Amino acid sequence: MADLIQTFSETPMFGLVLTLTAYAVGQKIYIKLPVSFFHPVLTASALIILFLFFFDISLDDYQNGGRMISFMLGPATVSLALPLYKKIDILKSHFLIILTAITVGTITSIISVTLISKTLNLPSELTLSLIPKSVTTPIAVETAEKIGGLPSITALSVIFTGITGAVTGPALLKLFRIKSPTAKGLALGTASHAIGTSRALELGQTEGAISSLSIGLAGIITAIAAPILVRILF
Amino acid sequence: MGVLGEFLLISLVTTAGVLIATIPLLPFPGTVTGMLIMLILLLTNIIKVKQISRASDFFSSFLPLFFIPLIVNITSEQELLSRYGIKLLIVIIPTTITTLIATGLTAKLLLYLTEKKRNKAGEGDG
Repeated sequence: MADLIQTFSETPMFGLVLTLTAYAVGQKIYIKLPVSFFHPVLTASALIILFLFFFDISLDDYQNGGRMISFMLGPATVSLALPLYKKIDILKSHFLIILTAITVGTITSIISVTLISKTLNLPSELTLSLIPKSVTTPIAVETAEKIGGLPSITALSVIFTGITGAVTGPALLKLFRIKSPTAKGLALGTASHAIGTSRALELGQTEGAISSLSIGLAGIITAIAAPILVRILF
Repeated sequence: MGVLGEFLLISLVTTAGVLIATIPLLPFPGTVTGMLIMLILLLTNIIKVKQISRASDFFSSFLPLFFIPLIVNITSEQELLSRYGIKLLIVIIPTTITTLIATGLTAKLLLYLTEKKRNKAGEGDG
């Protein structure tokens, strides 16, 4: 059995099959146990890491197939233009409010990450990995690469950020008496991308629509603002 | 247009974005440039929604799957992670909260000001 897996692991099919299987299992677990921490991506990644460790398979062998999957992130980012385009009427109706709120949120995110990281004496490559963490993974990863962060740390931080936003979001909105559906959607989408947006959708349709609009916009604003702010702050 | 054509169209725009982003002065990463090009093409009606919707929906619905291999790479950062893992969480949690509150309060304030202005204008009319 172990021999068979060793041989299989040397073909690109291995990384592909393992990732798809782990993701399917992750989704099954999430349906049974809908707790934020059991996000399918986290479960799937943990299962894959355990599998590689258990059967002593190298990361390179896994990435032969894994690379094909992460390659899709490029066209997936370009595809984010479509949901953005579909919500363009909402953007036009509150253009300044939406743009200002997301920009303030983005700058707050970058500055607060830098300040707390410096206080904790984090190595700068980790701080730079954390800076784009509030936006959708493909944009966050590309931005991190551009400013000198580590993509894998960024990808993991993006998920934890999403979970934090989705779990604490509704209570925070209540605490600060943020009642308008527009403001709620903006806050959830800007701070915690798609994971926050699925939470926003549970609050209401307007919340969900504004939140999904915020994903793309916060991504674009972060991609522009992060390199500039990093030059000032570092 | 067939599904294959939709994938081709998205791939072409992605490639264009990546190529344009190699110009050193541009602030955007390649795929974000591609996303902006796609948005402009949609807004100017050069590309229509139905010419990319199926391929685009495919990419959007499987987005979480695509970054699993990236996270698996974390095994090569074991040392950093075991040393700083907890600190990373200490940064992530409060900064997510500040971002959420800052965005929400800014929106709340701006919506309130717009509302007030509109009411004033309304009174003026009456």
